Amino acid sequence: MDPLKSLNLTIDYSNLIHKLEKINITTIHGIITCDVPTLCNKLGVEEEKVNSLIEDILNTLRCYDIRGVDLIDHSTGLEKREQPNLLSTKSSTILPLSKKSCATVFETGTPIDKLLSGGVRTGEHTEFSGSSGLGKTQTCFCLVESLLRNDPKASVVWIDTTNSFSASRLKEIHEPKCLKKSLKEKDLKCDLCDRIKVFKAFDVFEVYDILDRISDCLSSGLQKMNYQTSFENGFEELQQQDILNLILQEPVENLHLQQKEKGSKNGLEEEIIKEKEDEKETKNGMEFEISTTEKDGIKNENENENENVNEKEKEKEFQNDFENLISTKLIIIDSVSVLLSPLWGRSERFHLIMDSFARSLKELAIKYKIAVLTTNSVVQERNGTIDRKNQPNIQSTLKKSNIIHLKPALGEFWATQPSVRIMFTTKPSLTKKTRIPYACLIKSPRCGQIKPVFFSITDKGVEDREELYNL
Amino acid sequence: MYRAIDTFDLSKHIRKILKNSGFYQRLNLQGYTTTKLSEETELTIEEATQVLEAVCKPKKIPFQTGTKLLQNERTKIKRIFTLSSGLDEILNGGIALQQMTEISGTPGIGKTNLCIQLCLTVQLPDFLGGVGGKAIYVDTEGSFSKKRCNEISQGVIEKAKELFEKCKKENNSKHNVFSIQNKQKISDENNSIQDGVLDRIIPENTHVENQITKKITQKIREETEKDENNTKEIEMEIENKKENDDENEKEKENENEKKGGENFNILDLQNINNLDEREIFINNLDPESFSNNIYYYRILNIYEQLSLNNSLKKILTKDPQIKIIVIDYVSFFLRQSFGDTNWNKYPIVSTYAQNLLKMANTFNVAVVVVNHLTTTIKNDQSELIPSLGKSWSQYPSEKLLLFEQHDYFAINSKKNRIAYLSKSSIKKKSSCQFQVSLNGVD
Repeated sequence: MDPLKSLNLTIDYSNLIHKLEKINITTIHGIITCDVPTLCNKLGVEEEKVNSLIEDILNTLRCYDIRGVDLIDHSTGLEKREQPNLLSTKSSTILPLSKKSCATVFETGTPIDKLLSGGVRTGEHTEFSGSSGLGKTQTCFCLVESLLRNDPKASVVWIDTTNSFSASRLKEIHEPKCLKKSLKEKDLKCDLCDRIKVFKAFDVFEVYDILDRISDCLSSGLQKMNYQTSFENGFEELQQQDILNLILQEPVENLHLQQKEKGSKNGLEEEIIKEKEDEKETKNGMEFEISTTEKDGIKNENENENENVNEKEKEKEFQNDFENLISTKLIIIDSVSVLLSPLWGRSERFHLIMDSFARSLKELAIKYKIAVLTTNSVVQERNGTIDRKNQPNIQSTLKKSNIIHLKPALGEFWATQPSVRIMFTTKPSLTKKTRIPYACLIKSPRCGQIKPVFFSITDKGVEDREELYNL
Repeated sequence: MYRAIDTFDLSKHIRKILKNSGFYQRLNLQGYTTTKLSEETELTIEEATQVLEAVCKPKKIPFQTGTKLLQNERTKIKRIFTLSSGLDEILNGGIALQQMTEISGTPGIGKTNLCIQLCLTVQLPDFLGGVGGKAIYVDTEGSFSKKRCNEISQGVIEKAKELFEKCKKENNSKHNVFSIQNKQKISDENNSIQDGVLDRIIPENTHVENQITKKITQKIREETEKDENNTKEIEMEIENKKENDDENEKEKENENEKKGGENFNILDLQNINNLDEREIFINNLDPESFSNNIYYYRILNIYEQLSLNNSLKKILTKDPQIKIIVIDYVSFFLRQSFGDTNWNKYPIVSTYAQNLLKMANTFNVAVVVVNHLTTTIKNDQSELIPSLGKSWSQYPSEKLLLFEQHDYFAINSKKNRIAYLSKSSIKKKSSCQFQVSLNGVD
């Protein structure tokens, strides 16, 4: 039962909405199912106004259909790879899928592209699962590097739960490739690293906050755009600068639900200024964790003096954050199993949290045309199903108990959430003393390669190992 | 973004009340003040403020851009060197701060010695290349001995003196440890590790063990059926014991802080800037000057281990100089106390590890976890893998595997001790030889 306020309709309707509240019609459901003539008699309002309100509501909530023909590139007969920059119409929080939307494909630059039939796609949730130390994080590095190099405006959000992100490794992968283009090292280096934002989170709730933040920035970017496109006449490409200009003209008000109380005002003025962040980092990392209540106690004295300064700084930061996050094309969540596994068995809402987490990832991916990539770990199952790939013999059925079957963690429910899944496992080598890592495709909506892919991790990233294909 | 009330970090009681009053998702709370909320529901004003803070307040989450991280990795975030040139080389300088490193290996190979050495090298000051911090040593099997610590600290002092002399000659403030000591053999292409990845150890006499393994599997199957009842009782007890965090902590602090000669505390060396004074100081170092900076906790059961984990935050805020936490044999109690069934152990191990990671990140501390090896039977062959299973193995970001290997080229057919880096996000998998001597790990 969504309330009417959540739709952010234009100001003309605010009076009408107030009147409706008095009669206790506060939800969308209430308005649409009411009897218009009797309502108008009660309120003393013209029928036209109420009808236009209902029409506007239905317009914003409308879903646009896509024809299959529009998704195919007529010249090649294959799926369209490029996406024209599309924006929505008046709607704000709820964006309809525009008619001609197709996904962009981000290549990883590794042999795993063969499994992914090109690369990681926007609008989809992809998952890499496998036991530790096999190369999941390394392929994510390669993907990030190739994305940032090929698209100079895109940016990437990396949510790190196990502290395994390393910028020097990114640089190591990037260096040989930028030399080929014969550009200055220093410029590209900074540019590449500037556009990746790393968040550290150790809890599902922290990751939720991060995703909230990202979705707010992205939705506000599209919300302030009062740019109407006509689907019949074609589309125009908008550059990022135009978007920013339009946004900065109007004051960026609270996107979140605002509290107009004294208590909450103190809470809003947190002191996270970028310069001070640098200083504090060298001391303990504790400063980030100071709760707002403690800070309120200290801040109350100096509040009146620093209020104006803080507000300006806040706005600056917000705009900085905003500019940084608006061009996000890829979100990587390293080790989703680290986030969700502590809740298993201990919390009664484990399934609910897992469900809504997966749903919000998909929502972000589809609404804002982002690619979402998660990494997962594995779980052992002793008396599991027979692994037909490794032991196709019938005699192996008798030895069921000795087969240790590895499957991705987080269970059967999570298995349904990502649309593409890749598993990294190992296979005993010829000497039987070491194991050879390989990757195979578990789930995909398109016809990728079913044969496993052998790779090795080198200085340059993840590379192919062709000699093993013949074994 | 749509968010149900159940996805917020609020207690069950509060969520129940909210749901009963018709608030199912975040948007339903739009426009509410604390007074209005507490009037409409049964929440007190404190609880209402808690709800609104969690749900409606915009949170600023700090993030870092890649460039800042790149600068940090080169200058600020340091690594704790082990003073063994081979190990430092494969570890890219040492044990990383803010990360969890796992050291596993066969019994008697030198894990505890390496941990003691780390507790000592962490105390060396900045200008010698160390970090200048204190250490926490959590002991579950009683293998820490003061005598051995003294012997190893003698070795560390000698190496520190060498470092200092080199420092004087080069007149540098920071050092490369590798330039001083002779490089040990570092082999990227060990004969057996060439093809692929080594994440388990296969013992060399396999054909004898195949017959034994069949008997072992039968026994395992019998015992798994017995132990299911024990696990429920243990969980109840753990929840009760967690309330006694403070008491446990005080007891331990009184028992086990090592006392030593405080004439020359090694951490003071960091504050001395004059070269001559430094020289005098270093020449007067004693094993006792290191021992005052190690907090030693002796843990006797699973409850103490978990409650120590919960009180880490307090300990680390009290003394911000702590830079490394060493947990010797983390799996000892975690394996025993739950029987063989996994469903109860899994969430407890996950919260334990998650808490350690959190502490490592917020307090800029390195966490070193020692793990023993356990046997698995795969395809009629027994193998040794780090214990606690796959669910634990995702938490450490770097892993070191220590084992022995026959040196086929040596005359006496002796066994070499080899350290193999089996997981790291930065450094390639490589191995090196090391030795354990009177003066520590080399």
